[in-house]
Amino acid sequence: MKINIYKTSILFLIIQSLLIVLLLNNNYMKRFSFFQSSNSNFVDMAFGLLILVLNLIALVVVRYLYISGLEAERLKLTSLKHAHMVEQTRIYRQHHHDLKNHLTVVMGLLKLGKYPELNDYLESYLDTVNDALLKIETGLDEIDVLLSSKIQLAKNKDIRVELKNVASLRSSKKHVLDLVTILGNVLNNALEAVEDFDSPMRKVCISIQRDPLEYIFEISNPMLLSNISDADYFREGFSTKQEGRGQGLFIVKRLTERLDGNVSINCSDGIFKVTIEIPRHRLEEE
Amino acid sequence: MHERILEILIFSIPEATVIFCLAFSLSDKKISGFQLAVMGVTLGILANLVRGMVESYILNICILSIITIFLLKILGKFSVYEAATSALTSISLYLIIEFLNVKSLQILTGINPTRLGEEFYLKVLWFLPQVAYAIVISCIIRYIISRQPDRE
Repeated sequence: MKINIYKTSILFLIIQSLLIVLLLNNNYMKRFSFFQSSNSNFVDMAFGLLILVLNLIALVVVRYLYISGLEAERLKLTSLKHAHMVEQTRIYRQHHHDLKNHLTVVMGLLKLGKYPELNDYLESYLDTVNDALLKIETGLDEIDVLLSSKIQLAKNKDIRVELKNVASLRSSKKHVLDLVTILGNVLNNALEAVEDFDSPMRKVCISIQRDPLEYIFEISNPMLLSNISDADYFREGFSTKQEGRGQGLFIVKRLTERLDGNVSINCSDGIFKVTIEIPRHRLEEE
Repeated sequence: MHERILEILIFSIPEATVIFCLAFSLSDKKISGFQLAVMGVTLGILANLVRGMVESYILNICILSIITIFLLKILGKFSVYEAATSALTSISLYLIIEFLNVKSLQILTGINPTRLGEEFYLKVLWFLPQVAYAIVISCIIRYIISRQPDRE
């Protein structure tokens, strides 16, 4: 019979609460020698042993809880990845289904000798295919899912995302969450910054590079000229948006520095660029 | 004998009834007045009998917990797990209410709680607030649980 760890933990917690209350009440009554048996020492001893056993079992329960928590996290990630793959397969099938129609048009244009139109048609078709069948392989499932979801979000908002130099990443499990938080925050900021712009400026560039010592993440987006200093961006609570915001870059800086990395901001030529450098040995260490 | 019956009617049955009120509120199940009365009377009588037989407070509560779980399973049609969790939580809640009530009354009035065993009227007066608190808490729990969006 498979034990449901959550139900077991709940029961344990309740038993422990009852025991605490029992102990409290019993001690209170003991002071007035009320409702105490003649062999109360034996009962106290048995009660103490019961609490000891329960505490020891609680250690096992807590361990199982921790493991199942990790498993749940992993399953969540796999499910996201699966949903992404299903979506990719659907798009692929749709393109496959339309392929015959596109080839007919290509053949028609070719027969009519309309080469410039054929060129335009093929270019636009290839753009559509490239946009739709985006496959991200950074080497880290968590980052793949993050980038895919952000790119999908950008597409829905009609924002163009350029993904270049995707280097293969390696990270220990304990640092992956930090990396997801860092990149997630910067990407959110970038997408939010361009969503009010007109079409040519609705663009975000993401670059992931690797040199012998560091991983370098660059996220850039167009911006309106401003006189805000670079240091201001990292101040807790600083935001160009409404009040109560401004935690994003502060968190990014804090997490990056915890990994012995460095965050820099460069605002020039109407481009806002965040560069995050994290030493490879820190990210990869187990 | 009369004193025993009076004790069952005034203390044990109301005490058992509020424990079941708490248990049903915690498990978000509806309860009819008749069902509550049957369960309350059964537990009240059994609890009083057990109390007469067992000297130890801890053992007494352990036996009371088992009887409550059994009654919830049989008469309340709970699953074993549901019966165990709601019975233990409700008893735990009731006992802490009882402790806080007695302790606060002791501080406020300066009366030694041992006098409760000697003066029946005083015992009734000290008992009433804890029943009232338990009913209020039961209603609050039912309200909170009924407002949870993912309840079945």
